[in-house]
Amino acid sequence: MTATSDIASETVSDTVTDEYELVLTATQVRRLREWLLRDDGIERFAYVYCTPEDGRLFAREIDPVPGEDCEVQEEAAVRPALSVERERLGSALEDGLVPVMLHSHPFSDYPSFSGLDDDIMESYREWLGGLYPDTPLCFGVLGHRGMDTAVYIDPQRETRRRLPVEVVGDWALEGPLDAPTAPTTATVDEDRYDRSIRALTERGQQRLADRTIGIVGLGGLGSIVATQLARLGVRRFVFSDPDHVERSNLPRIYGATEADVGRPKVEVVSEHVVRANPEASVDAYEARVQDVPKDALAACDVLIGAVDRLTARLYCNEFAIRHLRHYVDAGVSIETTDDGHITEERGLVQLVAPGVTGCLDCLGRNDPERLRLESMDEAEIEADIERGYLDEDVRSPEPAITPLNALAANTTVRMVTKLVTGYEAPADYVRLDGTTNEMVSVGTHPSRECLTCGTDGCLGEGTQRIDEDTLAEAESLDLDVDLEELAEQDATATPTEITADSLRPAAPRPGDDAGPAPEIDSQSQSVAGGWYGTESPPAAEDPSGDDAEAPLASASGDTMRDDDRSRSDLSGSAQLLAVLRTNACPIAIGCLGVLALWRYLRR
Amino acid sequence: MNVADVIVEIEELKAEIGKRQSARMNYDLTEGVVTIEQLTLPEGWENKHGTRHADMRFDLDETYPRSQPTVYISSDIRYEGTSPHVLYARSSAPPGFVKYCIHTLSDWDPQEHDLVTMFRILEVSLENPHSDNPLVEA
Repeated sequence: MTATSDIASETVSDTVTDEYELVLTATQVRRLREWLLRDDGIERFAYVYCTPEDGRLFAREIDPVPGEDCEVQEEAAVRPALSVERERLGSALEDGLVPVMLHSHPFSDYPSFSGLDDDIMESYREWLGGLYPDTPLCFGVLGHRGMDTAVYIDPQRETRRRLPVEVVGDWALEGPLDAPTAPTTATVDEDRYDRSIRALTERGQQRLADRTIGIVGLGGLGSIVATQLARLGVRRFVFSDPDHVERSNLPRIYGATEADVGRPKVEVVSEHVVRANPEASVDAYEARVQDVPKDALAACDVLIGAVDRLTARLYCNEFAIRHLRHYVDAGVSIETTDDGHITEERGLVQLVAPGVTGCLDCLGRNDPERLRLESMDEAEIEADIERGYLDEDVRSPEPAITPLNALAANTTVRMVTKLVTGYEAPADYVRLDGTTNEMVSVGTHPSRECLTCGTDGCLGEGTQRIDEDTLAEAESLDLDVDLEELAEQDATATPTEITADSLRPAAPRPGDDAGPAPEIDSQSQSVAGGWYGTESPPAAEDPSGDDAEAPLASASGDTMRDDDRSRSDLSGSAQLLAVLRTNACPIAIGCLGVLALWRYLRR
Repeated sequence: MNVADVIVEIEELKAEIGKRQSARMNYDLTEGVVTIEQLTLPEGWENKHGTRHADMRFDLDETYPRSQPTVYISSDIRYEGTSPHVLYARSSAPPGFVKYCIHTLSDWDPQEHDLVTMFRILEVSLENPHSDNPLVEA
């Protein structure tokens, strides 16, 4: 197209906005390419309807516009008929969706908007900007290898930016899609990461530094994953685990020592992580993943489930599908005979790239009996055991050893590294057999019938909303309902933010994987001033104790920061006392020397 | 739990119940609770007032429909003067209710089964409180 544009150049910018991001799945990109880029060289048009949430636009539906519904469709121009525009745009906007108007330049590999495109976009803005002033107005043009985008963030103004695009499961595309990407601010310490950069490239290392990784379950598996990712250069973490460290966890949780027994796992592992990577920061939720605010989880580029509860895994799976986030599900199991002989040692690591690979429900990884057991309280379990419905051993912990955890953790971290840096396509599903030393990689596919990511599922729907249709349906049933309350409910857990600055410099800790360290017993820890120093009480004395349902961690996070302040605000006399305590022995020797000299001089 | 889908299920359940009797329904999906009030029970059942009415409650957990609902019934009902094993008095239950024993159905399939399925299972089970596999019969 060669038409000139009246748009003032200062209103059109190459700047990529950081206020919005379009998220498409590789399957959706493939479908768009098939529809928009035909061999006949004719331009075509499609709407992409998106769920907006926290600045992300999750592509939910592709709506191709056939030629008969277009006012013009030829080699150098395409536009839907006005009646079609009114109907489809109106319907989407009334449903709270954000439409992206996408057309093709089949004559171009790396397209850009023409002058005619500029004029058309401006006419849309003048039309829709007044009607829907709070909805961003988005456009795209697709070529064979690339895509350009535009967004009027405030459609009442002429200023236009480029809209960044993220493709979920981009490795599954036949050819890469060159599109605007979100601006990155991460700089990499080239000295520290020299060897990694030689393997992953500087760009790959930068991507690791720029991503937020959520880890659900900070036990024997999750703690290794977290530590490895931190050492690899990941800087932003979100951790979720309601449990506290028990003595029987110590052989497996990286970073945990006897002194940590009774402390929240998320705090113990977070501290270990920020020691491994001082640039890292962790939002640590001492809570079930279901109680972590959705915006905190949605901010994670990759969510990793290293948790033993199927309820939590299924929650993560559905969350990833709704919010078009990558989810890596990792787990291990050991089967033994009655005399303790290992018969099976397995690890499973599954990648859920929503709409691109199979999800947990696609693969039938649901287990109603397990879910029922997880939903029962102690009294119910006791009653079921008495009736013979459950075996006594349902209450016994599963066998677990750290080498198997490490095997699954390594596979998980490799998968995440490939996913983030793009140096190689990650496997969809890896099955590890510890007894036979076999590692099998399997491809998976989403199922149309899947209740989570299938046709009637919730792919790209974002957080569940109670829309007007649902409310009307409920009212028509004449039922007693309180859907308003349902719509308003959200998780309320608050995080403890843990960074290297939160911690005092400490001597090497026992159990630190950086190297061997001398044994320190828990009695002497607080005196020796290791982890928390002398000002803080040992966390094992936390009155919340072992109770996973105890109030959440914000209070302890504030305490930690208060401790830091109290340390820096020590009065002069207190500092003098501290100096005296620390240097008591040399001062005593000095005093004796002065006394001896005085006596000698008197003689 | 997909609220919109569950509301559709409740609508279907109300229609199903309406084919045979009139009963009032409540639901509170913040707690995952669906209640059928004053359900008329088959012959042989009786409450403390000497009538065949009882309230039925389905508790749906956050993974529903991947897991079957837990079922409770008014705690004052008896079958032919006795408390059959389906009334699971030893297990915990909300006030005024007793757990109705439909232990884990190995055939439960979230693609096929829903609240209407559960209600049909209950109807069969209430007709014969000693039924071993109500899902097959339903």
